[in-house]
Amino acid sequence: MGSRNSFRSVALGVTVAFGFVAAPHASAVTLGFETGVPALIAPPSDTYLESGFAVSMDTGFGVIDTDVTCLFGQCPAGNPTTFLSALNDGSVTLRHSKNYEFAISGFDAGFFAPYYIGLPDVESGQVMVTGVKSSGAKVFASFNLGSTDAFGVFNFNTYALRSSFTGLRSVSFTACVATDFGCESGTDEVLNLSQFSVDNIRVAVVPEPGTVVLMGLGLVGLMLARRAPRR
Amino acid sequence: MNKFKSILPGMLFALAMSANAQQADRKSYIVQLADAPAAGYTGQVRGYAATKPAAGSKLKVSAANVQAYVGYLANRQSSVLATVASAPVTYRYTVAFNGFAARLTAAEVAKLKANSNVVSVTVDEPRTLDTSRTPAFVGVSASGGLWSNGIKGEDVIIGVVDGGITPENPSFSHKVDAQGRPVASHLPGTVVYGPAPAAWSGACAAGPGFPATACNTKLLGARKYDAGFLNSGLVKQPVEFDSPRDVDGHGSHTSSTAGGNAGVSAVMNGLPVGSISGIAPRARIAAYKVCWLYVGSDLATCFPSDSIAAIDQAVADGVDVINFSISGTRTNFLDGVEVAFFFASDAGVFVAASAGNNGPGNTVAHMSPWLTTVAASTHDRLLVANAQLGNAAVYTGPSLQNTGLASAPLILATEAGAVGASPTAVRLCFAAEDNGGVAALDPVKIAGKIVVCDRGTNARTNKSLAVKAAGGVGMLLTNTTAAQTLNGDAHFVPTVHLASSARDAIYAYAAGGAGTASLGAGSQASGVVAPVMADFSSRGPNLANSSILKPDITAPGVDVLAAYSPDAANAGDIANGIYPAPAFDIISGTSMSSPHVAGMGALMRQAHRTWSPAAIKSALMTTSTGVKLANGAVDTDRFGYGAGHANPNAAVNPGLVYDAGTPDYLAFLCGQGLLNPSGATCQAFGFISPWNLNLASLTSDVLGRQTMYRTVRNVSGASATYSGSVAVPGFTATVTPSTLTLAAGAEGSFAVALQRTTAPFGAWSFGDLVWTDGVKSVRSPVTARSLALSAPAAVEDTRASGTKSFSVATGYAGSMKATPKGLVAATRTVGTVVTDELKCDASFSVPAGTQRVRVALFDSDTTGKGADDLDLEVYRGNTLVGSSGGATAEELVNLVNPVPGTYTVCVVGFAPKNGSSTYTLSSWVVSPQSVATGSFRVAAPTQVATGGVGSVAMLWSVPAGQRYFGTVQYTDGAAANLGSTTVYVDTVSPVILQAASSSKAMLKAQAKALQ
Repeated sequence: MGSRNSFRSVALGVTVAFGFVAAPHASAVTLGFETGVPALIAPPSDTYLESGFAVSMDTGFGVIDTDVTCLFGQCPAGNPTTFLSALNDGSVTLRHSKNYEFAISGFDAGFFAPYYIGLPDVESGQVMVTGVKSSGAKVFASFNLGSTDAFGVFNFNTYALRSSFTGLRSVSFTACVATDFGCESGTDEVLNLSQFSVDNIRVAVVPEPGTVVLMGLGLVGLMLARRAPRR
Repeated sequence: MNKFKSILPGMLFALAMSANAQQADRKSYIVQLADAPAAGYTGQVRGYAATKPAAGSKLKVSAANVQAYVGYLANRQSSVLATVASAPVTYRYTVAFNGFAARLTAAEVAKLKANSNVVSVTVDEPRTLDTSRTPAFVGVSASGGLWSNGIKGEDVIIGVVDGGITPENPSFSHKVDAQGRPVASHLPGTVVYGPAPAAWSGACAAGPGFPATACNTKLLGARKYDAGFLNSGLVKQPVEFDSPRDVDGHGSHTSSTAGGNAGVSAVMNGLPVGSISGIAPRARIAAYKVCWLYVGSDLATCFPSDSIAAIDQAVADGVDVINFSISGTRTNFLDGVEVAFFFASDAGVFVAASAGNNGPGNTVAHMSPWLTTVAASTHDRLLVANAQLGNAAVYTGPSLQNTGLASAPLILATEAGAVGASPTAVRLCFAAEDNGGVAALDPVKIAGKIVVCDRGTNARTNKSLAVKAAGGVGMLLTNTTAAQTLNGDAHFVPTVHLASSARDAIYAYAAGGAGTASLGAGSQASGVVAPVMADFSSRGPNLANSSILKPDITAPGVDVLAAYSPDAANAGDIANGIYPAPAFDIISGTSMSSPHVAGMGALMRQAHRTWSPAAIKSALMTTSTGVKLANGAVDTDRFGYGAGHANPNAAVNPGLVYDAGTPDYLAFLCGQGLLNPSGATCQAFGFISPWNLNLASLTSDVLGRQTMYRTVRNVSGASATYSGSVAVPGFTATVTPSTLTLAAGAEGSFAVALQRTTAPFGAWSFGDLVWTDGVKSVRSPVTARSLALSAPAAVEDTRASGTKSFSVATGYAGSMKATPKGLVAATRTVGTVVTDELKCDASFSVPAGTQRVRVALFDSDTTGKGADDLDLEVYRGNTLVGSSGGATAEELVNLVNPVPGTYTVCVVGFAPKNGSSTYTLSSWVVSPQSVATGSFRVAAPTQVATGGVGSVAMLWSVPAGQRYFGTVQYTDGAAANLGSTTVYVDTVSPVILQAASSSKAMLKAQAKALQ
């Protein structure tokens, strides 16, 4: 992936920036799919765990590996690390394993083709992100997965989500495929073609109100305790 | 901008597996580097001008730009070699291949594979040699044929990469005698060749048995390459010459078939057998010896590292055509030899290579689209003669002699036995060598007589040798059963081979010894059915990519009479100008058919100086003619012969050609994922599907429907209108547009669309596309297979834990299920085998429902560590069900859906180092009862669409240090079995070995056929 090795450093930069901003009230993490891999995640019961978050598949299935997994070079280019690929109209769902609320600020993704495209400027489709809050309210965002580059391959891109993607109980990721009629998924014409790879999902646990109160009491207690000897 | 869905073609997947990379001992590897070699360099490096020759011209190695670029390559090679500084380097290559051959450890292999300047690292697995009337049979010597029009290969240079050459054979002489017949170059005669063509810059490498004077203006040059061979630790047989001199006979045979002089009188076993000629008898020859006879084997061995060096040099020397009658890869387009031919082709050199002698199985070798792969078929030479008895009875049978024999006393061998000889040895006319060194026939009874000998047990020609040794003058060879063949062998005394139906009458007449017989001179029989594909000729489809038809073409390769090496030659005598008498032999193989096509390539090159190798190949293919079955019916199996039987008289004026060059082949390799898709090459040349490579053959799998695109060029010299028609059984086939009007030199493009109607899933259909202007017919084979599912046949990996994801394409709509079986760790069996021993002490049970069996030997699992030549044979009961006869101990046998039973594996000690090898055999049985090691899971799409695709992924985790095998079986969710993918996880070998062809099986079959 030589010329695009800058991908990872960009991702790390974003992570650091976000972590710095978010630090005062939450533990921000980047889900990099680097532990306990390679793995295969099939619905309904397979779950991938990292940093307290659980990733599962609702449809299709998921593969976690480097691009060595791709026999026909289908993987999006530009990511030398392990990542999750959601295949056959796959839908990825992310929850906190203890059902904490969380926020998601961004992620990296690329279109997963069935084979080498080999033509420049081929439009891929979109990745769609749906967050479900504790209230049942939903927030939605979609992003273009980009077109093939001059080498005829799709690439990983970095995406940022609005600040409304907080207070979430779950987030799901799906994709659709660009056709002459729009962006489609699951129809006979495009069956199994909605596929994408995702990596570096930037999330942060939002402390529960009760937790904030307890933490505040704890801090007060700590300050009191530290003062005590001076008296 | 294109929408993703709109650019999806009806897709199939080429299953080119990349072999990946661990092992302590040094082994020989060929390392390819990223820069183009000089023959293909087009000027991308700042400061270095392009060196690739223009169409119709040749690489000038002495030119300043070439020398500068070669120097640049050498520096770049040195910097890569500096990373593996302790590795002994065997060769450096710069002309037709950029890289080097070196002996590397597993760690060094890994290091090189991680180097961005390294394109590939492949094992230097040794290869074997694959083994007249044919100029008349292919038509070139006929009235109106190419020879009569002055097309005889004049000033065209044929490079023969083989086992060397016997320079004293008149086939390779620049002189003729007073009667105008070729005479050995060291004898007095008139020189009939001018100076070497201007492009020639080769050399004559003198050595034992090959003085500098051996080269002449016919045999322009000769070189030898043995560094790779010597590296292997093998020892040359004492009869070998450390020079280009041919000892084995094979190189002289192929050289004379391609470009040997016309009118050379051939003598075999002391009897004249007519005159012989090469297909391009005025071509010049350059010999490159890469095959060597070694202690412990009768079969010469040829190392790819030596072959690449020879090809590299041949291109630099200025040859126009290369013949390569040596086995090769069946699966790897980036094999070093194939890559060297890629750049040879880029430099305008036409390459003919043998398809392999492992038929009739699907084993075709040299499957790259840039070379011409030649199958072997029969020709129509059958000399028959009458045997007339004293009672006037006449019997006719094959007889390879043209002198006849006057009346002489006739005696039954059964009445002429030596004292003490067994009746069987006497009846069968055992020569001394068949009978413990003692002659079976009595000279007193036999001297001056014609002897009646029965067929059976010993070699047929040994019977006439026994007759000759006892002073006999002729032989009647009688079959004993109606099922036995009749053969025109080269006997030691004039012989007629007779059917069993004549035997009783001959025995009745000759009994008592009072009879006489005479033999007529042999003459060509009429009504011989030919060409018929040889059983041994390796068949398609192409194992590297089934959308590239292979073999391309067939030519005579059965019982070909050509120059050979004399039984004994002495370097000291030769140094004093005393050469052995020239020798000739009749042998069979795709080795013999390939030089026929190389010779035709030389004729085409003379006629069309600027045509590309692809245009020459196209012309040969589209004008080829039909092949028959033995019963005279049309042979419809394209995988035997490709386009058909080569017909050079028509090929020289084909009307249209399908041309292709380096940009097309690079786009093809990029489309296969074999070159870095983000690299400069794929960026520059793009990606094309294999079925759209502009070949004269159209070949594809069809998932419901498929369209293939082609471009033709009018080479007739005048404007012409061609109309096209296409038909393929089981498909609706259309060609659009159906008319092409093309000015001289103009190109036209068209599409061939196939829509499945009744073609059964999984079977290949053979059809034709024909463009005709009313006079010329430009015929292409169209080969299509309707599929319900297209999935990779095999997945390989060297990681102990990993995933593989791949797409499958479907030709039906509905549900789909994938079921994993395995992974099964190898069962390991230790044994010891000595030279020529068949060690059969490994056996296993195959239960009902077994999907796959795999049996393998690895060099690293033998005491010779690469220096042992061991083979494998697998038997069910007494039935041979699989065998592998490679040139070392890297052997692999795969059985698909094997019949249940007990199987036995025999290890053959073909040539173990120092006479003995202790080995560990690996075997895998993937059955319902198999016990899996570790974990192995598969996920697949649940629903699929007609003409659609879906992803399949597998995950495995196994303990390192072993080799594992398993399968993934695909069904439609109900009962229908749609196919399978095998999974091989080798956590031991640094590079997974790919199967290559070998001629051993055919040699064994031939030994049997001589009886």
